[in-house]
Amino acid sequence: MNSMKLLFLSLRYHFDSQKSNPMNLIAGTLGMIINNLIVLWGLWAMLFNNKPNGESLTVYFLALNAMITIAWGSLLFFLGGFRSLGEYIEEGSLEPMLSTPRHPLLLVGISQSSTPALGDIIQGFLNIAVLCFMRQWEIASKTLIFSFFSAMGFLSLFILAGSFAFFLKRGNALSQLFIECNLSLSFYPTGKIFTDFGKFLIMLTPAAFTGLLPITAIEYASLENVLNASIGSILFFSLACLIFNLGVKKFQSSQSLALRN
Amino acid sequence: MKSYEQSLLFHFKHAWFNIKEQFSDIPTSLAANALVPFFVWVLSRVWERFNSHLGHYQLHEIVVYIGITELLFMTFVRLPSLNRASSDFSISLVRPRSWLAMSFSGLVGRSTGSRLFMFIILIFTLPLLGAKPELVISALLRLIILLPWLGLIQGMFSLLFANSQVLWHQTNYFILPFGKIFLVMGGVWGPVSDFSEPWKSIILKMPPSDIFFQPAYFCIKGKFYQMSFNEWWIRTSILIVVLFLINQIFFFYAKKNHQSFGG
Repeated sequence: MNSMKLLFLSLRYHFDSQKSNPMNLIAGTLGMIINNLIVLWGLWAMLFNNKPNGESLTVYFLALNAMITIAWGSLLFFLGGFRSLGEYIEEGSLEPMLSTPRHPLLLVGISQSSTPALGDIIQGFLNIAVLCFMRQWEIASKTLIFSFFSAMGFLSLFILAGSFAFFLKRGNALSQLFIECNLSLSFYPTGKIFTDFGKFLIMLTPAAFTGLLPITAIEYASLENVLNASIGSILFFSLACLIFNLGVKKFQSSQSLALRN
Repeated sequence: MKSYEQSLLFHFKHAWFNIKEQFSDIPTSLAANALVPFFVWVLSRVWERFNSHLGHYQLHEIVVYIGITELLFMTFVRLPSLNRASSDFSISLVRPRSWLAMSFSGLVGRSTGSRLFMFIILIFTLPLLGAKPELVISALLRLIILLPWLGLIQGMFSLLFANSQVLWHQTNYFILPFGKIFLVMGGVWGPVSDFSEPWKSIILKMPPSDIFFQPAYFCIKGKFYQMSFNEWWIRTSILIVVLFLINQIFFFYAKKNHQSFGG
Protein backbone atom coordinates (compact mmCIF):
# COMPACT_ATOMS: atom_id res chain seq x y z
CA MET A 1 0.00 0.00 0.00
CA ASN A 2 2.86 2.35 0.94
CA SER A 3 4.59 1.46 -2.31
CA MET A 4 1.49 2.42 -4.28
CA LYS A 5 1.37 5.72 -2.41
CA LEU A 6 5.01 6.32 -3.26
CA LEU A 7 4.33 5.48 -6.91
CA PHE A 8 1.48 8.00 -7.10
CA LEU A 9 3.56 10.63 -5.29
CA SER A 10 6.41 10.20 -7.75
CA LEU A 11 4.02 10.40 -10.71
CA ARG A 12 2.58 13.61 -9.31
CA TYR A 13 6.03 15.01 -8.71
CA HIS A 14 7.19 14.19 -12.27
CA PHE A 15 4.00 15.58 -13.77
CA ASP A 16 4.33 18.81 -11.73
CA SER A 17 7.92 19.24 -12.83
CA GLN A 18 6.95 18.71 -16.49
CA LYS A 19 4.00 21.09 -16.13
CA SER A 20 6.29 23.79 -14.73
CA ASN A 21 8.02 24.02 -18.12
CA PRO A 22 5.10 23.82 -20.58
CA MET A 23 7.18 24.79 -23.62
CA ASN A 24 9.53 21.90 -22.92
CA LEU A 25 6.59 19.50 -22.49
CA ILE A 26 4.90 20.68 -25.70
CA ALA A 27 8.15 20.65 -27.71
CA GLY A 28 9.09 17.17 -26.49
CA THR A 29 5.63 15.70 -27.04
CA LEU A 30 5.07 17.33 -30.43
CA GLY A 31 8.58 16.41 -31.57
CA MET A 32 7.94 12.75 -30.74
CA ILE A 33 4.49 12.69 -32.38
CA ILE A 34 5.91 14.24 -35.59
CA ASN A 35 8.81 11.77 -35.43
CA ASN A 36 6.47 8.79 -35.10
CA LEU A 37 4.10 10.02 -37.82
CA ILE A 38 7.00 10.42 -40.27
CA VAL A 39 8.18 6.88 -39.50
CA LEU A 40 4.69 5.47 -39.90
CA TRP A 41 4.11 7.32 -43.18
CA GLY A 42 7.56 6.29 -44.50
CA LEU A 43 7.02 2.61 -43.81
CA TRP A 44 3.50 2.76 -45.24
CA ALA A 45 4.71 4.43 -48.47
CA MET A 46 7.63 2.05 -48.81
CA LEU A 47 6.06 -1.25 -47.85
CA PHE A 48 2.27 -1.15 -47.96
CA ASN A 49 0.81 1.54 -50.24
CA ASN A 50 -0.09 0.00 -53.66
CA LYS A 51 2.09 -3.03 -52.88
CA PRO A 52 0.39 -6.40 -53.49
CA ASN A 53 2.64 -8.08 -50.88
CA GLY A 54 1.95 -5.52 -48.20
CA GLU A 55 -1.41 -3.81 -48.64
CA SER A 56 -3.30 -6.48 -46.70
CA LEU A 57 -0.94 -5.96 -43.76
CA THR A 58 -1.82 -2.30 -43.14
CA VAL A 59 -4.14 -3.15 -40.21
CA TYR A 60 -1.57 -5.57 -38.76
CA PHE A 61 1.14 -2.91 -38.96
CA LEU A 62 -1.07 -0.18 -37.45
CA ALA A 63 -1.91 -2.48 -34.53
CA LEU A 64 1.75 -3.45 -34.05
CA ASN A 65 2.83 0.19 -34.12
CA ALA A 66 0.08 1.18 -31.66
CA MET A 67 0.98 -1.63 -29.28
CA ILE A 68 4.71 -0.84 -29.29
CA THR A 69 4.31 2.93 -28.94
CA ILE A 70 1.77 2.66 -26.10
CA ALA A 71 3.86 0.03 -24.26
CA TRP A 72 7.21 1.78 -24.75
CA GLY A 73 5.79 5.27 -24.12
CA SER A 74 3.86 4.32 -20.97
CA LEU A 75 6.85 2.62 -19.44
CA LEU A 76 9.19 5.53 -20.15
CA PHE A 77 6.67 8.16 -19.06
CA PHE A 78 5.50 6.52 -15.81
CA LEU A 79 8.53 4.39 -14.85
CA GLY A 80 11.28 5.88 -17.02
CA GLY A 81 14.10 5.09 -14.58
CA PHE A 82 14.22 1.43 -15.67
CA ARG A 83 15.81 2.51 -18.97
CA SER A 84 18.77 3.91 -16.97
CA LEU A 85 19.30 0.89 -14.69
CA GLY A 86 22.68 0.07 -16.29
CA GLU A 87 23.81 3.68 -15.88
CA TYR A 88 22.73 3.67 -12.19
CA ILE A 89 24.73 0.50 -11.55
CA GLU A 90 27.86 1.80 -13.29
CA GLU A 91 27.75 5.26 -11.74
CA GLY A 92 26.85 4.09 -8.24
CA SER A 93 23.39 5.70 -8.09
CA LEU A 94 21.92 2.29 -7.25
CA GLU A 95 23.75 2.14 -3.90
CA PRO A 96 21.42 4.44 -1.92
CA MET A 97 18.42 2.63 -3.43
CA LEU A 98 19.71 -0.70 -2.10
CA SER A 99 19.94 0.62 1.44
CA THR A 100 16.26 1.57 1.85
CA PRO A 101 13.47 -0.76 3.05
CA ARG A 102 11.70 -0.45 -0.33
CA HIS A 103 12.43 -2.69 -3.30
CA PRO A 104 15.28 -1.13 -5.30
CA LEU A 105 13.56 -1.83 -8.63
CA LEU A 106 10.58 0.29 -7.56
CA LEU A 107 12.93 3.16 -6.67
CA VAL A 108 14.79 2.75 -9.97
CA GLY A 109 11.54 2.86 -11.91
CA ILE A 110 10.10 5.98 -10.29
CA SER A 111 13.38 7.92 -10.40
CA GLN A 112 12.79 9.35 -13.91
CA SER A 113 10.06 10.28 -16.35
CA SER A 114 10.72 10.93 -20.03
CA THR A 115 8.82 13.91 -21.44
CA PRO A 116 8.87 12.88 -25.15
CA ALA A 117 7.37 9.49 -24.19
CA LEU A 118 4.01 11.26 -23.83
CA GLY A 119 4.20 11.74 -27.61
CA ASP A 120 4.61 7.97 -28.04
CA ILE A 121 1.48 7.31 -25.96
CA ILE A 122 -0.57 9.87 -27.92
CA GLN A 123 0.71 8.41 -31.20
CA GLY A 124 -0.36 4.91 -30.10
CA PHE A 125 -3.87 6.13 -29.28
CA LEU A 126 -4.04 7.94 -32.64
CA ASN A 127 -3.34 4.58 -34.29
CA ILE A 128 -6.13 3.02 -32.21
CA ALA A 129 -8.45 5.82 -33.39
CA VAL A 130 -7.50 5.08 -37.02
CA LEU A 131 -8.21 1.37 -36.46
CA CYS A 132 -11.63 2.29 -35.04
CA PHE A 133 -12.23 4.57 -38.05
CA MET A 134 -11.44 1.56 -40.27
CA ARG A 135 -14.08 -0.37 -38.29
CA GLN A 136 -11.46 -2.73 -36.86
CA TRP A 137 -13.08 -2.58 -33.39
CA GLU A 138 -11.92 -6.02 -32.32
CA ILE A 139 -8.29 -5.44 -33.32
CA ALA A 140 -8.35 -2.00 -31.65
CA SER A 141 -9.61 -3.35 -28.32
CA LYS A 142 -7.23 -6.32 -28.40
CA THR A 143 -4.34 -3.94 -29.14
CA LEU A 144 -5.14 -1.96 -25.99
CA ILE A 145 -5.20 -5.14 -23.88
CA PHE A 146 -2.01 -6.65 -25.31
CA SER A 147 -0.12 -3.35 -24.99
CA PHE A 148 0.04 -4.28 -21.31
CA PHE A 149 1.80 -7.57 -22.13
CA SER A 150 4.18 -5.76 -24.45
CA ALA A 151 4.91 -3.21 -21.67
CA MET A 152 5.66 -6.13 -19.30
CA GLY A 153 8.07 -7.41 -21.95
CA PHE A 154 9.83 -4.04 -22.22
CA LEU A 155 9.99 -3.75 -18.41
CA SER A 156 11.65 -7.18 -18.22
CA LEU A 157 13.97 -6.23 -21.09
CA PHE A 158 15.10 -3.06 -19.28
CA ILE A 159 15.75 -4.99 -16.05
CA LEU A 160 17.58 -7.81 -17.82
CA ALA A 161 19.66 -5.53 -20.05
CA GLY A 162 20.41 -3.08 -17.22
CA SER A 163 21.64 -5.97 -15.06
CA PHE A 164 24.43 -6.61 -17.59
CA ALA A 165 26.27 -3.78 -15.82
CA PHE A 166 26.57 -5.98 -12.69
CA PHE A 167 28.54 -8.59 -14.58
CA LEU A 168 30.31 -6.87 -17.50
CA LYS A 169 32.65 -3.98 -18.17
CA ARG A 170 30.90 -1.41 -20.39
CA GLY A 171 27.73 -3.26 -19.40
CA ASN A 172 25.61 -0.12 -19.75
CA ALA A 173 26.69 0.49 -23.37
CA LEU A 174 25.97 -3.16 -24.12
CA SER A 175 22.57 -2.94 -22.43
CA GLN A 176 21.57 0.08 -24.56
CA LEU A 177 22.60 -1.82 -27.72
CA PHE A 178 20.62 -4.84 -26.57
CA ILE A 179 17.53 -2.69 -25.93
CA GLU A 180 17.84 -0.93 -29.32
CA CYS A 181 18.21 -4.29 -31.14
CA ASN A 182 15.12 -5.68 -29.48
CA LEU A 183 13.13 -2.49 -30.05
CA SER A 184 13.89 -2.73 -33.79
CA LEU A 185 12.98 -6.41 -33.89
CA SER A 186 9.70 -5.59 -32.13
CA PHE A 187 8.92 -2.52 -34.24
CA TYR A 188 9.37 -4.08 -37.69
CA PRO A 189 6.71 -6.63 -38.67
CA THR A 190 9.09 -9.55 -38.08
CA GLY A 191 6.17 -11.96 -37.78
CA LYS A 192 5.41 -11.29 -41.45
CA ILE A 193 9.03 -11.02 -42.65
CA PHE A 194 10.52 -14.23 -41.36
CA THR A 195 9.35 -17.76 -41.99
CA ASP A 196 9.64 -20.79 -39.71
CA PHE A 197 13.37 -20.78 -38.82
CA GLY A 198 13.57 -16.98 -38.72
CA LYS A 199 10.56 -16.87 -36.40
CA PHE A 200 12.16 -19.53 -34.21
CA LEU A 201 15.26 -17.30 -33.90
CA ILE A 202 13.10 -14.29 -32.96
CA MET A 203 11.45 -16.43 -30.30
CA LEU A 204 14.86 -16.81 -28.66
CA THR A 205 15.16 -13.03 -28.19
CA PRO A 206 13.23 -10.68 -25.84
CA ALA A 207 11.50 -9.30 -28.98
CA ALA A 208 9.29 -12.39 -28.74
CA PHE A 209 7.76 -11.01 -25.50
CA THR A 210 7.74 -7.35 -26.48
CA GLY A 211 6.42 -7.78 -30.02
CA LEU A 212 5.89 -11.13 -31.68
CA LEU A 213 3.82 -13.04 -29.09
CA PRO A 214 1.46 -10.13 -28.21
CA ILE A 215 0.87 -9.18 -31.87
CA THR A 216 0.20 -12.85 -32.75
CA ALA A 217 -2.36 -12.92 -29.92
CA ILE A 218 -3.95 -9.73 -31.33
CA GLU A 219 -4.07 -11.22 -34.82
CA TYR A 220 -5.47 -14.67 -34.02
CA ALA A 221 -6.78 -14.38 -30.43
CA SER A 222 -6.88 -18.13 -29.92
CA LEU A 223 -6.56 -19.40 -26.34
CA GLU A 224 -3.15 -20.87 -27.19
CA ASN A 225 -1.80 -17.52 -28.42
CA VAL A 226 -3.18 -15.61 -25.42
CA LEU A 227 -1.62 -18.17 -23.05
CA ASN A 228 1.70 -17.96 -24.91
CA ALA A 229 1.77 -14.17 -24.56
CA SER A 230 0.74 -14.12 -20.90
CA ILE A 231 2.85 -17.04 -19.63
CA GLY A 232 5.77 -15.82 -21.76
CA SER A 233 5.68 -12.35 -20.22
CA ILE A 234 5.47 -13.77 -16.65
CA LEU A 235 8.40 -16.14 -17.26
CA PHE A 236 10.50 -13.39 -18.88
CA PHE A 237 9.78 -11.00 -16.00
CA SER A 238 10.76 -13.70 -13.46
CA LEU A 239 14.00 -14.38 -15.36
CA ALA A 240 14.87 -10.65 -15.47
CA CYS A 241 14.23 -10.28 -11.70
CA LEU A 242 16.30 -13.40 -11.00
CA ILE A 243 19.25 -12.00 -12.96
CA PHE A 244 18.85 -8.63 -11.18
CA ASN A 245 18.84 -10.32 -7.75
CA LEU A 246 21.93 -12.35 -8.65
CA GLY A 247 23.59 -9.12 -9.73
CA VAL A 248 22.66 -7.37 -6.48
CA LYS A 249 24.30 -10.20 -4.49
CA LYS A 250 27.46 -9.74 -6.58
CA PHE A 251 27.31 -5.93 -6.47
CA GLN A 252 30.12 -4.07 -4.74
CA SER A 253 29.74 -0.45 -3.83
CA SER A 254 31.89 1.99 -5.77
CA GLN A 255 33.43 3.17 -2.46
CA SER A 256 34.75 -0.28 -1.58
CA LEU A 257 36.09 -0.64 -5.12
CA ALA A 258 37.84 2.72 -4.77
CA LEU A 259 39.36 1.60 -1.44
CA ARG A 260 40.62 -1.60 -3.03
CA ASN A 261 42.21 0.35 -5.90
CA MET B 1 46.97 36.33 -47.96
CA LYS B 2 49.40 34.60 -45.65
CA SER B 3 46.98 34.75 -42.73
CA TYR B 4 44.24 33.28 -44.97
CA GLU B 5 46.50 30.33 -45.80
CA GLN B 6 47.42 29.92 -42.16
CA SER B 7 43.78 29.94 -41.20
CA LEU B 8 42.99 27.31 -43.83
CA LEU B 9 45.85 25.15 -42.59
CA PHE B 10 44.60 25.52 -39.02
CA HIS B 11 41.09 24.34 -39.95
CA PHE B 12 42.48 21.36 -41.89
CA LYS B 13 44.51 20.41 -38.83
CA HIS B 14 41.44 20.84 -36.64
CA ALA B 15 39.42 18.56 -38.94
CA TRP B 16 42.28 16.04 -39.02
CA PHE B 17 42.43 16.00 -35.21
CA ASN B 18 38.68 15.29 -35.10
CA ILE B 19 39.06 12.48 -37.65
CA LYS B 20 41.82 10.86 -35.58
CA GLU B 21 39.79 11.28 -32.39
CA GLN B 22 37.22 8.79 -33.69
CA PHE B 23 39.95 6.12 -33.72
CA SER B 24 41.35 6.94 -30.26
CA ASP B 25 39.02 4.57 -28.35
CA ILE B 26 38.41 1.60 -30.63
CA PRO B 27 36.25 -0.49 -28.20
CA THR B 28 33.84 2.43 -27.64
CA SER B 29 33.65 3.20 -31.37
CA LEU B 30 33.04 -0.49 -32.06
CA ALA B 31 30.25 -0.59 -29.47
CA ALA B 32 28.71 2.58 -30.95
CA ASN B 33 28.66 1.05 -34.44
CA ALA B 34 27.84 -2.52 -33.51
CA LEU B 35 24.21 -2.07 -34.52
CA VAL B 36 24.96 -1.10 -38.12
CA PRO B 37 25.40 -4.68 -39.45
CA PHE B 38 22.31 -5.69 -37.48
CA PHE B 39 20.21 -2.96 -39.12
CA VAL B 40 21.59 -3.89 -42.54
CA TRP B 41 20.49 -7.47 -41.94
CA VAL B 42 16.99 -6.59 -40.67
CA LEU B 43 16.27 -3.93 -43.33
CA SER B 44 17.52 -6.09 -46.20
CA ARG B 45 15.13 -8.84 -45.03
CA VAL B 46 12.27 -6.32 -44.81
CA TRP B 47 13.04 -5.28 -48.41
CA GLU B 48 13.24 -8.92 -49.53
CA ARG B 49 9.82 -9.67 -48.03
CA PHE B 50 7.97 -6.62 -49.34
CA ASN B 51 9.79 -5.15 -52.35
CA SER B 52 11.96 -7.82 -53.99
CA HIS B 53 9.13 -8.70 -56.42
CA LEU B 54 9.53 -5.26 -58.05
CA GLY B 55 12.76 -6.58 -59.60
CA HIS B 56 14.72 -3.31 -59.49
CA TYR B 57 17.49 -4.78 -57.36
CA GLN B 58 18.82 -8.06 -56.08
CA LEU B 59 19.26 -8.90 -52.39
CA HIS B 60 23.06 -8.72 -52.52
CA GLU B 61 22.81 -5.18 -53.98
CA ILE B 62 20.35 -4.12 -51.29
CA VAL B 63 22.69 -5.30 -48.55
CA VAL B 64 25.39 -2.94 -49.92
CA TYR B 65 22.84 -0.16 -50.53
CA ILE B 66 21.55 -0.25 -46.95
CA GLY B 67 25.10 -0.50 -45.59
CA ILE B 68 25.99 2.74 -47.42
CA THR B 69 22.82 4.64 -46.49
CA GLU B 70 23.26 3.57 -42.84
CA LEU B 71 26.86 4.79 -42.94
CA LEU B 72 25.75 8.18 -44.28
CA PHE B 73 22.74 8.51 -41.98
CA MET B 74 24.26 7.35 -38.68
CA THR B 75 26.96 10.03 -39.06
CA PHE B 76 24.67 12.81 -40.33
CA VAL B 77 23.33 15.17 -37.62
CA ARG B 78 24.46 13.85 -34.22
CA LEU B 79 23.49 15.54 -30.95
CA PRO B 80 26.86 15.09 -29.14
CA SER B 81 28.66 16.77 -32.07
CA LEU B 82 26.15 19.63 -32.08
CA ASN B 83 26.45 20.15 -28.33
CA ARG B 84 30.21 20.25 -28.65
CA ALA B 85 30.06 22.73 -31.52
CA SER B 86 27.67 25.11 -29.74
CA SER B 87 29.20 24.80 -26.25
CA ASP B 88 32.07 27.25 -26.74
CA PHE B 89 30.07 29.94 -28.54
CA SER B 90 30.49 32.64 -25.84
CA ILE B 91 34.25 32.35 -25.62
CA SER B 92 34.59 32.12 -29.39
CA LEU B 93 33.13 35.63 -29.76
CA VAL B 94 36.34 37.08 -28.33
CA ARG B 95 38.67 34.73 -30.20
CA PRO B 96 40.37 35.78 -33.44
CA ARG B 97 39.12 32.71 -35.35
CA SER B 98 35.63 32.41 -36.81
CA TRP B 99 33.25 30.24 -34.74
CA LEU B 100 31.47 29.19 -37.92
CA ALA B 101 34.65 27.95 -39.60
CA MET B 102 35.93 26.31 -36.41
CA SER B 103 32.64 24.47 -35.79
CA PHE B 104 32.35 23.50 -39.43
CA SER B 105 35.83 21.96 -39.60
CA GLY B 106 35.20 20.13 -36.31
CA LEU B 107 31.81 18.78 -37.44
CA VAL B 108 33.15 17.65 -40.84
CA GLY B 109 36.16 16.03 -39.17
CA ARG B 110 34.11 14.11 -36.60
CA SER B 111 31.64 12.94 -39.20
CA THR B 112 34.38 11.90 -41.66
CA GLY B 113 36.21 10.02 -38.90
CA SER B 114 33.04 8.13 -37.97
CA ARG B 115 32.33 7.40 -41.62
CA LEU B 116 35.82 5.98 -42.15
CA PHE B 117 35.45 3.83 -39.03
CA MET B 118 32.10 2.50 -40.21
CA PHE B 119 33.55 2.06 -43.70
CA ILE B 120 36.13 -0.39 -42.28
CA ILE B 121 33.41 -2.27 -40.37
CA LEU B 122 31.33 -2.59 -43.56
CA ILE B 123 34.23 -3.94 -45.64
CA PHE B 124 34.31 -6.96 -43.33
CA THR B 125 30.63 -7.37 -42.46
CA LEU B 126 28.81 -6.79 -45.79
CA PRO B 127 30.15 -10.01 -47.41
CA LEU B 128 29.05 -11.92 -44.29
CA LEU B 129 25.53 -10.51 -44.73
CA GLY B 130 25.26 -11.80 -48.30
CA ALA B 131 26.87 -9.09 -50.47
CA LYS B 132 29.21 -10.11 -53.27
CA PRO B 133 32.80 -9.09 -52.33
CA GLU B 134 33.46 -7.56 -55.80
CA LEU B 135 30.35 -5.34 -55.45
CA VAL B 136 31.37 -4.36 -51.91
CA ILE B 137 34.81 -3.25 -53.14
CA SER B 138 33.56 -1.35 -56.21
CA ALA B 139 30.70 0.31 -54.28
CA LEU B 140 32.90 1.41 -51.39
CA LEU B 141 35.53 2.76 -53.81
CA ARG B 142 32.81 4.86 -55.46
CA LEU B 143 31.73 6.00 -52.01
CA ILE B 144 35.28 7.20 -51.28
CA ILE B 145 34.99 9.52 -54.32
CA LEU B 146 31.74 11.05 -53.02
CA LEU B 147 32.62 11.24 -49.30
CA PRO B 148 34.43 14.63 -49.28
CA TRP B 149 31.53 16.34 -51.11
CA LEU B 150 28.92 14.62 -48.94
CA GLY B 151 30.98 15.66 -45.89
CA LEU B 152 30.56 19.31 -46.87
CA ILE B 153 26.77 18.94 -47.11
CA GLN B 154 26.63 17.08 -43.80
CA GLY B 155 28.82 19.77 -42.19
CA MET B 156 26.50 22.53 -43.42
CA PHE B 157 23.40 20.80 -42.03
CA SER B 158 25.07 20.13 -38.68
CA LEU B 159 26.28 23.71 -38.50
CA LEU B 160 22.71 24.87 -39.12
CA PHE B 161 21.57 22.91 -36.05
CA ALA B 162 24.50 24.11 -33.95
CA ASN B 163 23.60 27.69 -34.95
CA SER B 164 19.93 27.07 -34.13
CA GLN B 165 20.87 25.70 -30.73
CA VAL B 166 22.70 28.92 -29.90
CA LEU B 167 19.90 31.05 -31.30
CA TRP B 168 16.91 29.30 -29.69
CA HIS B 169 18.50 27.17 -26.93
CA GLN B 170 15.89 24.37 -26.87
CA THR B 171 16.12 22.61 -30.26
CA ASN B 172 17.14 19.10 -29.14
CA TYR B 173 13.61 17.70 -29.43
CA PHE B 174 13.45 18.66 -33.11
CA ILE B 175 16.62 16.85 -34.12
CA LEU B 176 14.85 13.49 -33.86
CA PRO B 177 12.00 14.31 -36.30
CA PHE B 178 14.42 16.16 -38.56
CA GLY B 179 16.57 13.03 -38.69
CA LYS B 180 13.49 10.92 -39.40
CA ILE B 181 12.55 13.13 -42.39
CA PHE B 182 15.97 12.40 -43.86
CA LEU B 183 15.72 8.73 -42.87
CA VAL B 184 12.43 8.26 -44.71
CA MET B 185 12.84 10.65 -47.65
CA GLY B 186 16.49 9.73 -48.09
CA GLY B 187 15.62 6.09 -48.68
CA VAL B 188 17.76 4.86 -45.80
CA TRP B 189 15.40 1.92 -45.13
CA GLY B 190 15.19 1.00 -48.78
CA PRO B 191 15.62 2.57 -52.22
CA VAL B 192 13.30 5.49 -53.04
CA SER B 193 12.85 3.96 -56.51
CA ASP B 194 10.84 1.17 -54.82
CA PHE B 195 8.37 3.62 -53.24
CA SER B 196 4.88 3.74 -54.70
CA GLU B 197 3.65 6.73 -56.75
CA PRO B 198 3.03 9.62 -56.22
CA TRP B 199 5.50 9.54 -53.29
CA LYS B 200 8.41 8.31 -55.40
CA SER B 201 8.29 11.31 -57.79
CA ILE B 202 7.84 13.78 -54.91
CA ILE B 203 10.63 12.34 -52.76
CA LEU B 204 13.08 12.20 -55.68
CA LYS B 205 12.81 15.99 -55.98
CA MET B 206 13.74 16.56 -52.32
CA PRO B 207 17.24 17.20 -50.90
CA PRO B 208 17.27 14.06 -48.65
CA SER B 209 17.10 11.90 -51.76
CA ASP B 210 20.12 13.76 -53.22
CA ILE B 211 22.28 13.16 -50.18
CA PHE B 212 21.36 9.58 -49.25
CA PHE B 213 19.51 7.70 -52.00
CA GLN B 214 21.35 9.05 -55.06
CA PRO B 215 24.88 8.52 -53.67
CA ALA B 216 24.01 4.97 -52.51
CA TYR B 217 22.41 4.21 -55.89
CA PHE B 218 25.55 5.57 -57.62
CA CYS B 219 27.72 3.31 -55.48
CA ILE B 220 25.90 0.11 -56.42
CA LYS B 221 24.91 0.93 -60.04
CA GLY B 222 27.70 3.30 -61.16
CA LYS B 223 25.21 6.03 -62.17
CA PHE B 224 22.61 8.26 -60.54
CA TYR B 225 18.90 7.40 -60.66
CA GLN B 226 17.16 9.29 -63.47
CA MET B 227 19.74 12.10 -63.46
CA SER B 228 23.26 12.78 -64.74
CA PHE B 229 26.30 13.35 -62.55
CA ASN B 230 26.29 17.05 -63.52
CA GLU B 231 22.65 17.46 -62.55
CA TRP B 232 23.29 15.85 -59.14
CA TRP B 233 26.37 18.02 -58.64
CA ILE B 234 24.48 21.24 -59.50
CA ARG B 235 21.56 20.30 -57.19
CA THR B 236 23.85 19.56 -54.25
CA SER B 237 25.95 22.71 -54.96
CA ILE B 238 22.81 24.84 -54.77
CA LEU B 239 21.93 23.09 -51.49
CA ILE B 240 25.37 23.94 -50.07
CA VAL B 241 25.04 27.61 -51.12
CA VAL B 242 21.54 27.88 -49.58
CA LEU B 243 22.71 26.27 -46.33
CA PHE B 244 25.75 28.55 -46.26
CA LEU B 245 23.54 31.63 -46.54
CA ILE B 246 21.09 30.43 -43.88
CA ASN B 247 24.03 29.69 -41.58
CA GLN B 248 25.35 33.23 -42.05
CA ILE B 249 21.93 34.72 -41.22
CA PHE B 250 21.46 32.47 -38.15
CA PHE B 251 24.98 33.24 -36.95
CA PHE B 252 24.37 36.98 -37.32
CA TYR B 253 21.25 36.83 -35.12
CA ALA B 254 22.80 34.33 -32.69
CA LYS B 255 25.72 36.73 -32.15
CA LYS B 256 23.43 39.74 -31.87
CA ASN B 257 21.00 38.21 -29.34
CA HIS B 258 23.41 35.97 -27.46
CA GLN B 259 23.39 36.02 -23.68
CA SER B 260 25.89 33.92 -21.83
CA PHE B 261 24.85 32.23 -18.58
CA GLY B 262 24.19 34.92 -16.04
CA GLY B 263 23.50 37.45 -18.79
